[in-house]
Amino acid sequence: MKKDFRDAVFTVVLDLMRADRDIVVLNNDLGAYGLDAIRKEFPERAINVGVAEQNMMGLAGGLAASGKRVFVYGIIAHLMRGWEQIKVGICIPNLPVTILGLGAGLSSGLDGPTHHATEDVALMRAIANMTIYNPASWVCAEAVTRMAYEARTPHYIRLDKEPSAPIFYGPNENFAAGYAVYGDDLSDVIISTGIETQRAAHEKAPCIIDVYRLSPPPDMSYYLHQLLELGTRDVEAVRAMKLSNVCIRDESRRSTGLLSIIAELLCEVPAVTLPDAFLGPQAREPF
Amino acid sequence: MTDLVAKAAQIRRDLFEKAIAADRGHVPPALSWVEIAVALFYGVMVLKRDRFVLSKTHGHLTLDVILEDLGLTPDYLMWPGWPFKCSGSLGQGLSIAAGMALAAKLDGSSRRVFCMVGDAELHEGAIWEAAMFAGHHKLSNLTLIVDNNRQCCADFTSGVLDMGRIWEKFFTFGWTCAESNGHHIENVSEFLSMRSLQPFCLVASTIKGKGIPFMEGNVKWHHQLPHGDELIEARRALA
Repeated sequence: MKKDFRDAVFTVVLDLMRADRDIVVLNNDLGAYGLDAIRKEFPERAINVGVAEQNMMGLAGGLAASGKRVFVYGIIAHLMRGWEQIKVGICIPNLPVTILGLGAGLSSGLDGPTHHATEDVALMRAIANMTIYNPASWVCAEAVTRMAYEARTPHYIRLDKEPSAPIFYGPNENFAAGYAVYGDDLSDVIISTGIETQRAAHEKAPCIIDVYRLSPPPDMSYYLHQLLELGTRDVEAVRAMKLSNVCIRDESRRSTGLLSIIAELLCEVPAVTLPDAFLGPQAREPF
Repeated sequence: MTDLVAKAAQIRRDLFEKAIAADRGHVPPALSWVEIAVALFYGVMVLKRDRFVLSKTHGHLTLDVILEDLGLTPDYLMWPGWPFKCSGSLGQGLSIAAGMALAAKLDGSSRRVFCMVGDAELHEGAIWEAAMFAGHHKLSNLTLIVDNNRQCCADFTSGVLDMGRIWEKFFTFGWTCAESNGHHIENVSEFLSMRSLQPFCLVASTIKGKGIPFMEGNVKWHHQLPHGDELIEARRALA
């Protein structure tokens, strides 16, 4: 049975709000039926902040720093305007704010590049302390919304505009792993996320690895190594491998989504980089 | 009140020596709001109840010294970049403060929220988004102080983006406004104790580098420290 992601998620939020008087929902003038229902029942805790995304993210930080647990909702492409406030006001202090972004990938295709959510995963991945979910099924969306609330840390959940089916997820699924494997024929695998997982399921692909958590990246080393036989460190053998049994599919660019995430997981080049965390004020080592 | 004047002089000395000891620090932007900080932390604020957001985080030397003096650990988002002791990002603090004020209203709490910004910081568009929000929602528990030292980093503010009549701008956004000499503790305290049905903005006329005559109103000192003879002269002025 298909469901709109917004309906699924806001039903959960309303449910949570009935139990927790400290939840506040902010939106930047973007509507949703589910949000209307919340506003009707809790008008003082559902606030349309107006067309002002930077302020919306700063408000979320101030509210969360005062003991509130905040949901923020808007069109993905424009939420990114508040990127620095997300970094400084929400993620550096590691506050309980969940950003619900509408319009993953090319959901709003006809609205053109100003509405295409093709950079947001890269932008949000770049911020430490931010967990990103990209659910392919409304069952997953409901679950990760609850998980985000319970975690009390910064979260970003991407919502497609296309109504989704449960696909291969049952009602009591555990979504802790960050990815799920459907099927067991590793000779023909699709590694996908979001709408591409829906497409693969629709095409009845024999084996799909649905990566619904994009950050932190799930530990898929078992499957990746199986698929790519990277146990052998013979460079010639690796080069000669025809990787025709696996395909990554994502409605984003190479540099802004699942492909770069998988590539980073597979990168075995020795590297000196900064840790995945905010660093305190510190001087560089002189050289 | 003489106690507070003496406290302000002590805070000035302490913040200066802290910067000299670390060999780094934004001294003039910290000196310009000392009286405002003393009025707030040693008088107007109910410390366990109220909140303070230092949006012009480069003025943090003043706050560091006062928190030490009072034995307080900042356990909330007190400046953009908290919990790190760092220089912040301008234009973000008023939204944070507005969020805190809103939370207090939702809780039916008597908590007041104070926010400190610089005059050049008002160039940031996000400030005005927050100002509109606070005015519209009548966040009467929110008080903003503008450290109007009329300088930014590289120049006088009027040479870059002239802010004109600051109080008038906030007034049209639905704020109750006042202007004051920012170094007159009694006046500042009186204004900061005022309540109205709207958010309150105090535009405090200040001097960047106040207390060290050769720094006062001189653009070159934004984050420069004096050495040699200038250091001796500075210490003499602050004594």
